[in-house]
Amino acid sequence: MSEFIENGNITPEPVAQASDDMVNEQPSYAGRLGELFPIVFVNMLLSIVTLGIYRFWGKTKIRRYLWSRVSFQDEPLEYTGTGTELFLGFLIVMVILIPVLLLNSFLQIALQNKPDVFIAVQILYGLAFMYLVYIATYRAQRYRLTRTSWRGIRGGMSGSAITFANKAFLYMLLTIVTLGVMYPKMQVALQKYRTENSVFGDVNLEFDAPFAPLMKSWLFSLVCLLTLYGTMGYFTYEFVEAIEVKPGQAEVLRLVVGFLIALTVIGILAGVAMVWYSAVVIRHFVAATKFEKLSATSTMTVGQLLKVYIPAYLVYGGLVVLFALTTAMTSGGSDAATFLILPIIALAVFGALIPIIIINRFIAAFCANMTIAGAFSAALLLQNQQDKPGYGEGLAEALEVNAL
Amino acid sequence: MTSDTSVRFEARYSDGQSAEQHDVAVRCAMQGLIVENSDRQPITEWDWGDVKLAESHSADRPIRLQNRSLEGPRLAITDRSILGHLEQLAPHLKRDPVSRAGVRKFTIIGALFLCFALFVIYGLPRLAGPLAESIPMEWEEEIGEGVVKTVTKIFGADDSKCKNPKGVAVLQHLTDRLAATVDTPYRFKVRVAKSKVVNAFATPGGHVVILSGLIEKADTPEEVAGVLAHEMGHVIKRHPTKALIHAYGWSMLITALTGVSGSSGDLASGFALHLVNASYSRGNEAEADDTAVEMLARAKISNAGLVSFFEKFLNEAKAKGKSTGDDSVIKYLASHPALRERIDAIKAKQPSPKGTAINDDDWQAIQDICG
Repeated sequence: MSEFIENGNITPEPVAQASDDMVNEQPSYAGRLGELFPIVFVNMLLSIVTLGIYRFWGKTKIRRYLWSRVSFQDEPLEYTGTGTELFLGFLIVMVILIPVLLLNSFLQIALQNKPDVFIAVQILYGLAFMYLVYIATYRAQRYRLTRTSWRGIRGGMSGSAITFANKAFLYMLLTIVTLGVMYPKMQVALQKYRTENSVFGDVNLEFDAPFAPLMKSWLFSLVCLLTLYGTMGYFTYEFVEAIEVKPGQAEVLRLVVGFLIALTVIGILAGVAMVWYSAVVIRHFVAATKFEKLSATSTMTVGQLLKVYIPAYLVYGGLVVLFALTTAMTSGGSDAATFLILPIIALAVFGALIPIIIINRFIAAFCANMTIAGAFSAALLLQNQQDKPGYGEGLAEALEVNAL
Repeated sequence: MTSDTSVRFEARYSDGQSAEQHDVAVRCAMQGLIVENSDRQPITEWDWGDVKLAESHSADRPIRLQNRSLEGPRLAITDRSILGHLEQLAPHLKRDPVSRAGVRKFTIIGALFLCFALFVIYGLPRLAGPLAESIPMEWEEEIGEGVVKTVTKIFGADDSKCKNPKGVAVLQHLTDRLAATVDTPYRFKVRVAKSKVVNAFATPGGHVVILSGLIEKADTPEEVAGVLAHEMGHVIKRHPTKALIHAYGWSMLITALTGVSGSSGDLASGFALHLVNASYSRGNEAEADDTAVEMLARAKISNAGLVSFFEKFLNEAKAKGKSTGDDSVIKYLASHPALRERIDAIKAKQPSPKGTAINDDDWQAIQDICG
């Protein structure tokens, strides 16, 4: 597979051996919320003051922190991107996108009395938007890979964003036509294309995942979801029937509370089912990924994933309840505005913090559950020689593809 | 303290050609860092000017350095006591690699966007005029038709009900009579929409919509004629179209700053709300008033109607104090500020002719226009 190529110029002392070292260890994550919060706060403030321009540098700062806290074999990852690159990418896309948006707005207004054309235009616009999101995702990943390095060796990504978007589009149609059943096939195909085009140094990653085992898990969670939605439909029907008989106020209250509780429980169960499937996918995809003679396994479970998401949402839910109570208690009073300001600020601030809380917990859980094992020869892993994009992620930023 | 060039610090070095890491020692010389292997052979030298931090350092990690003129090589100094020497010989390392460049850049770019924002706030209104005039009339009329639909929906009004032929004909005749007094490329399309709301609005392309609540509120045909002339004044001065361009300018600015957030659909209703809330500047309202007064005078219709219509609202509001029940008055006032000044301005013009707008039969027809 990899040939023995002699390094050229600045050769230090002869390497111990060009033979493989045996590896069996976990990546470590040393990120802490206490160190992330100040960065996020400052980002927020500066972004407001600069009418949003600062966010590119803010994102860069967060990424540099996060990347540098993930280490393998005691050597951290490095993020070498700059805010300027992100900003330029954004500007370039905006120049093209804004006229298109304006055109769409004009059409929206002008086609009010031609509903058929209006609907057709809306559908086309939606499809085009989805297609662009796929392109944006691929290009964003390419930007990040080329701006990630370990021991000075850079990542890279070959392949074409358009090919990826075409695949995604076709598989999406397949998924819709089969009412969601073929979704794992889409997941596997897209992940395969992305992974096999991902490069670190001069080595491509490999991806080998049969989708049959994934399909079993998917069908199980699909059945669960359908059962849950069916139950919800049943409850809704019963509720509407009961209300139509116009019962007394106490009865109505009982019905409403009961209905809300039922909805919440069903919602929670549905959420758990989807998180369970996500854990299955993570384990499956990690096991399928190989880097030369290195392979990986993940022991991520549904419980651990839930622990990633739930605490943040619980606190947020608590704040929402607090806000609702405050509104209820002060409604009618003219001082309502002053009472509400504090909860509103708390809600907004915490809402802005949730993404970073979840990302922090997710990376921690992901690293703690991942083990990389096999044979690795550092001397034979050479620098990536591909061209890298000069600026990044303009489309992803413009379409708000991801928060980080 | 001059650098003690014999002191060696433990470090790890990767040359950027392969992933291999070598155990090395680092010495601090006057001109730069010297990296040596375990046999004290120099591997490479980095000038202080080229040395920069590869990551923000913290107490529990090695100090990671890179060379700004070489892309790959990395130096991780595990012996943190080198910090003292670094502070002496390379003080520029103290500052965080990201924020240094960032603060300067975003100040410049922030300034650029401030200029753009100022342009939208101050320059766009000036540009809006010539821009408005260059839009082809067919486009304007199409857009205007769409805006009529959107705004009518916002008012919860129904524009299919008020089609009583006699009333429609009388209204059209009145419109034509007023339109004949001015030289404008617009073809006015006036319609009535059924609604309890007391209001009227104009859209790009010459569409005017009067809500039936306003007709009910009016006591004389001169009042309706006054309001009609006022809205036609907005059309003639291209206020709706300029407002549209202005709204697009704002929307562009916001999109440029924050990216797309599915807001293009909101633009249509956003602009419509613009019209509804009549965030026309006082200048625009005064201009429409002036045009209306001129048109009424030339069409030989008394402008006492316009005045009395406004005064009716002022008096009702004063009498009622805080609104109870019939809040259509308050809503109308809220969207038409500075009524007092406008009434005074109209009265200050040369005295109006005494003519009536339409005869009693036709007035009845208009009042019955919604069946």
